[in-house]
Amino acid sequence: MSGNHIPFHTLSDLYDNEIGPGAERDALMGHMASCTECALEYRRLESTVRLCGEYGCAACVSEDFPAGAMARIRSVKRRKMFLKSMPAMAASFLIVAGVGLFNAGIIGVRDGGITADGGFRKSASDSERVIDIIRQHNATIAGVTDEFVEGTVPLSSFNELRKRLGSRRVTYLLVDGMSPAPAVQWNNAIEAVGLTDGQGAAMTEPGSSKQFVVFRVFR
Amino acid sequence: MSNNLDSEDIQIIDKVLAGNIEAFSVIIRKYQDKAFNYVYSQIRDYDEAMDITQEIFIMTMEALRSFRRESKFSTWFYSIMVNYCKNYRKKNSRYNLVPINSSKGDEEYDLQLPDERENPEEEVILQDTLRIVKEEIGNLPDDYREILLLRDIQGLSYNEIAEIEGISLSNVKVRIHRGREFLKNRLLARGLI
Repeated sequence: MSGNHIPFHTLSDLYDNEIGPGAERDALMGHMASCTECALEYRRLESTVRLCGEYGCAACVSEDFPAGAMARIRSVKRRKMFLKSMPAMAASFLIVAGVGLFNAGIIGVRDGGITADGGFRKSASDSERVIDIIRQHNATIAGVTDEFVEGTVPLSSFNELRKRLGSRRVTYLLVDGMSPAPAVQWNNAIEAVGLTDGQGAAMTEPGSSKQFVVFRVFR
Repeated sequence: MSNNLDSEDIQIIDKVLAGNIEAFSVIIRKYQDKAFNYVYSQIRDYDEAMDITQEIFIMTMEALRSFRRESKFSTWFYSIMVNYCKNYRKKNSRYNLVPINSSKGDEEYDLQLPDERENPEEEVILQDTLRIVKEEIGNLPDDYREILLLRDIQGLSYNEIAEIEGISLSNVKVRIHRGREFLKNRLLARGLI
């Protein structure tokens, strides 16, 4: 108690039964029985809380509130379900469209070819691509079989050609001229998959007259 | 009793989670008035409070799967409600700047009161009393008003309020006491008590 009266926070605790049965509660109740001011303050507190409660009861929602809320919930659910199914719908569309375009020959790779070599018609087979690459590097094509494309290229252009052929398997030999002799010993050919920048230079023998490379590019 | 009530809520929630969305209307009917009272006291606009109360139920429904059942459903629901109102009031700070007693629009006080009194005079007095109470609750500092509404209108325990508001129990008590004292003094000055 502050002075002769009960502080408001203690009255508030008392009202909320935060001060349980016991000596303290008995003392407070005893004080209020003899102190009209504290008893009045307690009644004012009771009235304040009661009015709060009445105010709370007065503000009601309209009768159609649950129906309106449920309608909105259903609408949200429908929208969410639609959005949730969007990726699957999009994927289905892409698959169907992709199959259609592939079957129509508009997209896709034929003959198991590689499309990373750029600059070629998408419909070209791998052999056609290899031939295109060879022609772009001042090389001559000696023959095309089911297994490989054979040709000859100046040594100076071989490095670049080899790079453009990418990961294809290539065998090659240094020769004197653009027209390879019929007796090219392919058994002695160098076989490689891919080529580094240094390999072409290493192939050159000082003072050698062999300034051309005969090669086979395998499928 | 409260455990029974909570288990009723849980049963309904299980139905909703199993796909019976319509079962959620039971939850709406059960909490709509308490939720609306709180929102209305915070927002002070009937139509807007209706919209927001609906939003809170939608949000609750959406978040139902994240209800871990570590607290009562009602506590969890009130947390959503309180946070929604806090965020709403932050975004629409004009509500904090316009004192309620400066409003001239009578429609602001057009509460939908239950028609349970036949005496028109009593009805007028009641409406006027409630109008003043509403004004004075609106004039309470935000911190006190929120807590007082949860305690004296929603009837939540100190512990529940502490959990919902994320503050200590002693802080809850202090705010309740000060809020009540503030309101008591205002209602006394207006001649209501």
